[in-house]
Amino acid sequence: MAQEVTRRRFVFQTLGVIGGATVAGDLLPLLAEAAKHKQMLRVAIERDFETLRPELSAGDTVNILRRLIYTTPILWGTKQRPDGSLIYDADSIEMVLAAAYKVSEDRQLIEFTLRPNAKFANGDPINTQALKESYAWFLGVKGSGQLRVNGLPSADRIEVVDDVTVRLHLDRPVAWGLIGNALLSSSSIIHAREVMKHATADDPYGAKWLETKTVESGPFVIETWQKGTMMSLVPNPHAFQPATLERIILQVVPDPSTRRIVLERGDVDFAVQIATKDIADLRKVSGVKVISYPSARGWWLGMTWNKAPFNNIHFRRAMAWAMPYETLLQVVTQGLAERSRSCVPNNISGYVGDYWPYETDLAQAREELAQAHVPEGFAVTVPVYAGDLFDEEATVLIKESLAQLGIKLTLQKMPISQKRTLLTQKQVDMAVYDWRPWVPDAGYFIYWNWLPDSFTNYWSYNNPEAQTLGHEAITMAVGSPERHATLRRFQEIVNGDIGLVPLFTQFDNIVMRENVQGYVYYPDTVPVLAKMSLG
Amino acid sequence: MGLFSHAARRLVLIMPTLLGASFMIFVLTMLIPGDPALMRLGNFATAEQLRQLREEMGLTKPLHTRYVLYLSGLLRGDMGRSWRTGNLVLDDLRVRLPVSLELGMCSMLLAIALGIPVGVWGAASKDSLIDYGGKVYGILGVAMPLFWGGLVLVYVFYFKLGIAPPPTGRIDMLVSPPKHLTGSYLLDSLLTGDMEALVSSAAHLVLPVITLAFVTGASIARMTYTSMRRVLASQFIVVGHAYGVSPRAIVYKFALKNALMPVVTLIGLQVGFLIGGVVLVEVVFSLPGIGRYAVESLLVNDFAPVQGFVLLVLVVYLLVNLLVDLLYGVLNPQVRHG
Repeated sequence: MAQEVTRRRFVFQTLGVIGGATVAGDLLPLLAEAAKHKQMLRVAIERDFETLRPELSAGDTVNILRRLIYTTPILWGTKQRPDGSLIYDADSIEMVLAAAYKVSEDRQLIEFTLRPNAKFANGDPINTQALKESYAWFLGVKGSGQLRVNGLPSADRIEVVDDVTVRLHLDRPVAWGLIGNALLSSSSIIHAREVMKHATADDPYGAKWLETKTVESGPFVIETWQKGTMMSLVPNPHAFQPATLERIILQVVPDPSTRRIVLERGDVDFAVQIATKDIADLRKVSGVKVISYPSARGWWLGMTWNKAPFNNIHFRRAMAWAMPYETLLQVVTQGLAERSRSCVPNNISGYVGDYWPYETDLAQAREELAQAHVPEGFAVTVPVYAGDLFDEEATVLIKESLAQLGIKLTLQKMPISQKRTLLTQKQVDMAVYDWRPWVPDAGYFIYWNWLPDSFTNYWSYNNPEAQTLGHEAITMAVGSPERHATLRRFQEIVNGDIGLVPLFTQFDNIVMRENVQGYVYYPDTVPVLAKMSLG
Repeated sequence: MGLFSHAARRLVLIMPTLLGASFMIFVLTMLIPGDPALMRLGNFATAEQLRQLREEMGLTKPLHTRYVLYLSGLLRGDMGRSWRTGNLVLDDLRVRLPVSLELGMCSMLLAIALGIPVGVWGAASKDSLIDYGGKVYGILGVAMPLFWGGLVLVYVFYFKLGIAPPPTGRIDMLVSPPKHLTGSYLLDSLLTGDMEALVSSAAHLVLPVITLAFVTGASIARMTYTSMRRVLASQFIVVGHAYGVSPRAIVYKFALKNALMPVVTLIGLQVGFLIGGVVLVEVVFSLPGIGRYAVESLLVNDFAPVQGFVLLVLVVYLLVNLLVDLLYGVLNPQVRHG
């Protein structure tokens, strides 16, 4: 029989719920504490996964997930730093889906021997035919072109020798050919046959289905996905490498301050994108571990080559002398960065820091500016990505410095989408921006940034001598003396031109609870959560 | 004119408003600079890839063609597809709207429960401590930024005292959400008798609701106070006093009813704000509501969700406005519709 709702009963029931909610505040952390004793890794990520399509590099969160649910033939090797932390080893390769690999002497043939027991989450085999179909999907779907730029323009260059042996015939040698064709996002193995079942006339590659559904090939499979809130993953029952973790929970916590405090309280074990300003404090927090890695994420001041006075070498030198390098390091990055002295970032193979003589010297800057014949009261509008503290603060400090030379900077704040569009359309005269290569190689950086048709040659740099050298470096063998000399000469020329003003290269600060083990730092900073465990 | 015919006429008038609004929303979002295809591809792309993706996303079609497609989609109940989530916008909004509704409605109930008594008591006891306290609350509530208020509550009650759950969404990571019936975790867990989910989801709502109710309640308190003061100075109240009507009856029986109309108008406006405009609270407490959905989409030039969100909030505003109009007639029979 239904109970009559009286005022007294209503009040008591309401108080009961409120009381229960308050008690839950105490209870739930206890439950969370208990959960820590299991191998359940809770990770605070900044936003939800936009898609399960692995070919679109739409954000770090997608890449974190990609590494969990899609396997790749290989991964970077790992080495230990003196402090015990782990970092990638550019000189070694870890076998993942592949059990072995060979690269021919002319570097145009890569052969993989796959593990014989590899399976997708639905039990289908991941054999060489599945690998070929996956690569063919990437080569066919619109908007995907990574394999092409790495020397693999079409699927007919993939030769299936037998169930476990597959050969990639590249159309030219590429210095990072092995990494580019077996480790980056386009080498993520999707179940292409299953995806293609959902193809339609409008969507011939079934990409829309793959946005929200998939058949996993990686070490973990999606258990639940509450859109905008969290995703829970459990080990793939068919994984060829057993995982220590029993469950991974990726919890969306969009506010960086909130990510910090939930980590401090121990409600998550690992948090991404913690603000640099919080790092010093977090180092002092008991139970929290902060590991800083010198990265290849360079910050630059770019200037267009398409119009005066920016294309005047004296003006460019004046800018190089006027940058407040030390202040940028101490104020913007709080000391968590290092000086850059070249047109390619630090901490990558081929970097040479010998051709950048510029320090902060306003007297020299004034002399150069006088020779550039810049009109008095020269003003320039600089787009700034609102919300990125490095961009905003660095531009403000540069504005203050240039004001002493009589140059007025007007900051125009805008969302990242707008700034990136303006940069790509080459409509910006001057701006601070950053760029991180996924392959720690100077030739790779040159390919994307310094050639006439490079996608992010935002400033229209054009010097045939340097660019010929850049082209050559792309195809030369990594580590060869010829390539080293070529890259050195390239940097000498471009730095002489003041192609860009290198401001600093930031550290990547990784923050986690002390009991988290097995974190390895990779050049793209995407953590491989499947390798981690709780001590 | 009767109540129902008035409501029907207003509902019909909503249609041309929505048509005009759809055009404005479409044009305004198209004016936002930035290339969605570029955002989707990231830094590692080629000019050819960019061209292909722009084509795939329909960005190469002329503006008027895109508007016609958008409008014909709307007429079929299709608000387009979000490239960011890969879902139909309608589906995304359907998932996220209950989050915002639950938060907004709970906050509004608490704000009313807080604001009206504070305003009434303050007005009824002028120059007393209650009056001053109410005024201080009114100023604090209106001046306090929502974002800051939320952070302070999190810091004190979660971080320092440890009595609130982590601000990581609607329910604890270790608790399964209740079976989906309405999308509101509170209602669904009550309806399904899932006490664990009820306790966890209620606990996760406490701080965001207090944050919002504190601010919204202050506006209501100020409006109630002003309106009550005006009514309490009216002739009929003076006559009531002269006839020996008890002060309690004068305040609660006669004055309050007459003072409520502007308060109801304000509450109507605040409902729209609470459902769509609480992005910062959703960010601080990691709540996946429609406000956060719209802002995150806007930042990466994913226009369809932004258009869908604005249209939805507009519909909510129009309907709440209509409801408020109808309530006028209920609260004060002197008000005639027509």
